[in-house]
Amino acid sequence: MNGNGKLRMIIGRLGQSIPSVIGIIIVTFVLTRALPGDPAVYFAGPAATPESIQQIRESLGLDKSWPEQFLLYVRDLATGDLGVSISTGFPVAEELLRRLPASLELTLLALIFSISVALPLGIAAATRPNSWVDQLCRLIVTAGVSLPVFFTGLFMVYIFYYLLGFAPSPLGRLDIIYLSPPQVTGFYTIDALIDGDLEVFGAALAQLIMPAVTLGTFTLAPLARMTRGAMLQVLSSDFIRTARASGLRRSTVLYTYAFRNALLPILTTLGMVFSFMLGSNVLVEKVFAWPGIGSFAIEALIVSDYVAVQGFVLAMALLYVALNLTIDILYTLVDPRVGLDD
Amino acid sequence: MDKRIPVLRVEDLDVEFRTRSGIVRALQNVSFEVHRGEMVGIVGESGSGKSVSAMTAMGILDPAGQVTKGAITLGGLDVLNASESTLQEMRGREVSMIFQSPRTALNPIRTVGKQIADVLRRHGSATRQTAREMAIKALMSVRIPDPERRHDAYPFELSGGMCQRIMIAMALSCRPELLIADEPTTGLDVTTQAAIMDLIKELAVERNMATVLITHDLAMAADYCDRIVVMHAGHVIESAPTAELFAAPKHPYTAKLMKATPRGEGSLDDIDSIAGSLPDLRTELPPCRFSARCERHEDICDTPPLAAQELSPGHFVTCRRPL
Amino acid sequence: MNEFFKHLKYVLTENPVTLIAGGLFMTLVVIAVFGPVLVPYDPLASNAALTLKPPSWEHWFGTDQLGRDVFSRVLIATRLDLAIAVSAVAISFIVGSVLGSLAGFFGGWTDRIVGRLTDTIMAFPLFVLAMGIVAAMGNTVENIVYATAIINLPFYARVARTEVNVRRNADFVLAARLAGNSSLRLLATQIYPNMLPPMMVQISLNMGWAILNAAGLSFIGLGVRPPTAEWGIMVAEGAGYIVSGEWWLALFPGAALMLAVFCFNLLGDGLRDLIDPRRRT
Repeated sequence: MNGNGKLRMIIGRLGQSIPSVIGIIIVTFVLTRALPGDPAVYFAGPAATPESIQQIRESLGLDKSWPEQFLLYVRDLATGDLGVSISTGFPVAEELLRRLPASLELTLLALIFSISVALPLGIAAATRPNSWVDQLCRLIVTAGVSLPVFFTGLFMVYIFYYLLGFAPSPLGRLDIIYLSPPQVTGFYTIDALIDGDLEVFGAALAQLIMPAVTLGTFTLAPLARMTRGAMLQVLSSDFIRTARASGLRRSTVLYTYAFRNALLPILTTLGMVFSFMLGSNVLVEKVFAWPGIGSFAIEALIVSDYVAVQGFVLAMALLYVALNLTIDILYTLVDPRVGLDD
Repeated sequence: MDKRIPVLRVEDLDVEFRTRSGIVRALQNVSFEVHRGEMVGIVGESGSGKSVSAMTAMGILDPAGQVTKGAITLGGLDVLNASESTLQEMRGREVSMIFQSPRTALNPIRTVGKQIADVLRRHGSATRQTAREMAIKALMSVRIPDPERRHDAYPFELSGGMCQRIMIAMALSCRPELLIADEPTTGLDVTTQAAIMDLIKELAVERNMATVLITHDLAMAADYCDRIVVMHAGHVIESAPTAELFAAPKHPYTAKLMKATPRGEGSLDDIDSIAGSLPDLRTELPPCRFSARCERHEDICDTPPLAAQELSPGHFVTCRRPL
Repeated sequence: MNEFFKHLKYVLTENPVTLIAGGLFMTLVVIAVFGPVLVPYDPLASNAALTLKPPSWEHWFGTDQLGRDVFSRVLIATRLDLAIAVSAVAISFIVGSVLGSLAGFFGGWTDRIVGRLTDTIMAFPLFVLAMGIVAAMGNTVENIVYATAIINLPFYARVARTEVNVRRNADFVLAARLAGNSSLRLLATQIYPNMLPPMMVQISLNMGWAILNAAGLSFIGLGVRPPTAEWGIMVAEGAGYIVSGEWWLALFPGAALMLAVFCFNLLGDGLRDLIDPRRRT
């Protein structure tokens, strides 16, 4: 398949995600507007007076018909207006954007950790069936699926911070004695490196390790399981037999031939893993007092700041769609057979 | 060079498989030879041990399998006692193998040209710079039209016959002394079958290469092979030059096979005129595994040992009461 | 029936882990049902003199920040957590399997609409959607159940749809149709009961996930309020004491959670071995 065909397929995939986006917008609209009871009361917050409720009702257009409201809602979304947070007084969109880098830094590191442990483990387990590596893999998979992520996080804190004293205090992105580096990307680690400040870089990384490992451990299980399964299946296929019969080196057979083919179902699993990851992000941010969008949502929930919560749900959903799209596109690039039945 | 030194010699080979339901004695006392420039056909029903013999000779036997007796010499190399790295060097260079269902036997997400190049580069017949050119040359040697374009094709874009040519190109790219073809034409239509077999024969003659053709198509073996080795239930029961085998088969089983598939008709998988079925290889079996189905069976057939006899030069039979 | 029990015995003896999981499951059920009778102390009774005591003979799991016996609270919480999970899964299963069956049987627009519905739910990261639903509907335990039910719906709908699709053209269905049964009747009496076994596997596997979900929601403060004893909220309350070394407040409810989820996962795997026809000898 040539480059042109691939491009067309990518655009096709983009098109396929549009119904999802529409569905997400509709669902969040229903959740925010079509609640039982008077939505204006929700939006005005717990400390509202009848006057402020009426004010909210008019400003949000809650007295208009539903189709009209929906159009207003979509218009607002299109201009990036997610409403104003009751607790902070700032626009929700602004709050989310401000806190996004913290969550992204955490999630990205967790993903890197997860992949760099799960993939080699799965491959090793598949190439040495019934060895200790294989048993270890199966143990991790079974345990990982059963452990609540907040439990793992808490116990990491207990062991590594309280008992062993290795880890720094789990109170956010940077110990208070340090100043955060000048903002370039919002990622403290990268920004510290750009600034040339190795001490801050080290401190930021130290704070990141436990939450990232906690989050990563949760997603390790399905990834390792799928890697092992996919590798086992691929290794018993005909073309691997041909490769071996041609005298190709073990590393070539394993990586260039077997693993690349196993990558396809692994990529598919990654999509599901992202769903867990984005959800668990919230829990991990609570345990480690991480100032990302997850803890923003939790704080909003506690003070009944519904505008903020719904903005959060919408943002996460759109992020998830974007991530899935990326995986779809990656899949298309790896597998030349995709698109045959379009 | 002495033509009598075989390229491949299998001597008294015993192979067992450990399975959940017991030990399967897949091969017993299997012996045969292949000489330079000759094409030897190994024929038999499914499950007779043809492929297992080939895989063992290549050193790519399934891990559940174990060689319990015998010797295999390939171009002077003691295969059963060689290290894995030695065997890896040998595979694809001194001996190559092609399989049935060529479409699934090729890597589905890698261009066919790159797959040929992988083999070339592995055995030092090409470098990264020369790989593409050499791969295209290999494609030309198997008469693939428009080889430059085909080089960048994926297996799913090509027909079964084309894929088999690719496999042949890959297998012969490093000029091996021996080619093992395991049912290379199964699944292809009749015209393509003939084309592929003609190609293999042509290349074998051109390069004075030894070839083993594993097939259940007796007629095909008759058309292309110089010698035929007949296997049944893990035993070699008869081997002879083709003409002699067909003119005067000495083993009752061979005779039945001839009758069941007269020249040009049917494959050994279609025969139902041989009563009964293959014995269960997990159980304790008599020295002759055909006894249960043989009309000529008598008590003497059950007394071990049962070894091959050379009834006439080059014609071996493993039977107490040959025809 | 005899076949079934023979196979059951084979699976249980072949895999002792399934037996252990089964035993654990029964224990959990017993604790859930007889909780109030089994507890040594009143789970809600606070005692200012006994706050934050580590595990001892009197208090096996220690006491929490209000002097309450952690062991009693963990036991009592079993009932609530299982109740939440069971109700959520039950609703999920009933609604999901019915929708999925209709979609798989009738195809066409039914299939498309149900498909859109499940796709839309799955377009969200599921836990986040649950948060949004609880926030929208109100912060109560019932809404935790409904939210968990909604996010689990797609799994059942999909499995049901596939199972019905596979069986739709089976011989016994055609025979019943020829006998004059209407489509819906066919679906209800012939096809649906037949696909229950594979659904049971889904249910068991899903229970573990439902428990984790519900606990997660209560960990971040949704649904359950103090002083109710529930595993998630107990871990949340105990979280603050980890940094000062009082580990028992969070460990025991967390371990209970893990055990329950583990039990259901193993049970699901065992059930799958039992029911999957490919494994039958």
